[in-house]
Amino acid sequence: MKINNIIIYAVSGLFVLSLFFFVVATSYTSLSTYTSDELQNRLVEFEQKAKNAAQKEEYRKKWRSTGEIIDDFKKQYLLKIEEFSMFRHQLRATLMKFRLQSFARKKIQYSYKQIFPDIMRANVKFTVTGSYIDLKRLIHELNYKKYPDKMVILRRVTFSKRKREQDVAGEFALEVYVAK
Amino acid sequence: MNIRYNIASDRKIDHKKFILIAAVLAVLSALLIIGGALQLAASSKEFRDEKEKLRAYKEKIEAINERETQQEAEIKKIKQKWRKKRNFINGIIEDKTFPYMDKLAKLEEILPSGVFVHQFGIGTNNKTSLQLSISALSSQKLLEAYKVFLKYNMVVNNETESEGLFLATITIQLRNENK
Repeated sequence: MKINNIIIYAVSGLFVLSLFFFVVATSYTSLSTYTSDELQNRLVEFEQKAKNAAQKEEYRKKWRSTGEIIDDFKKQYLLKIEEFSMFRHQLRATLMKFRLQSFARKKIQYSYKQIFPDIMRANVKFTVTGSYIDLKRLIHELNYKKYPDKMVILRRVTFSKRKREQDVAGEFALEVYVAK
Repeated sequence: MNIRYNIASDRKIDHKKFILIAAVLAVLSALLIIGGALQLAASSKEFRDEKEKLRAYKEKIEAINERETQQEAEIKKIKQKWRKKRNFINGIIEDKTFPYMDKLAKLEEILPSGVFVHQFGIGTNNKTSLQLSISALSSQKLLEAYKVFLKYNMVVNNETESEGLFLATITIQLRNENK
């Protein structure tokens, strides 16, 4: 009889264990289904990200092209180094043409400042004497006529009446933007 | 009459039935184990493949995120550079078009007779303000000049009287009329 009991317990135990194993295996399979959902979500996220990245790349390219606009401006409106050398000769020639007398033996002062790695500013200062009309003409010549499309800017001009003289002293401060 | 007694303490086991039930249970157990094992084998392979794909996607997404961060940093840098240069270019264009001749013409137009300009400065740094040193032969003329310049937000910085000359340093605002 005892052996029969052992057999009953063993077979029942085996059945319960196998049932438990089956349930565990089924749960594990459903866990795998959860992973499939996650995979699907990841795929959607990846596709969205890839799309956004492509748009951002286009946006980046657009912004990079702004550099070309600046380069075009530089080419068109800023003097090149070699042109600046020419500018210096032309400035002196212009002052001579207007027959304006310069204080301090026709001295023209130059100083330079780096504005950007590729753009430099030359500050030009000189003082001349002449009639008010001549100085006005010089303003017109320098600011509008001579370099209408180049960034040669008259920053400041100061007119002073000289004592016991009809002439006016004009102190000019020019800025010339030079591209490297 | 025969009387049959059953004096057994337990039920008599029908061995055939007992073996049959035990065998059925054993077979069912075996089937459950095999079924579970097959499920596990199948799903774990799929699970592994999906896990692998998931990992690959995660890596790709991380790479995209990293690239996006780089792109954003680059765009930010380009934007900063662009804004700096754009402001600079706009500034010099505005300075280039500063209407010197208009300002001088305006000054000539509004300057009252009997008042003389000794010094004035005009430039792009102070776009609208103009500092003038003027003189008049009488206080009456100087006051007349003040009356005219009051229309241009005049500020008298300094006034002196010397040897019959009335000298003043004033600041006026000459706005660009076509703006």
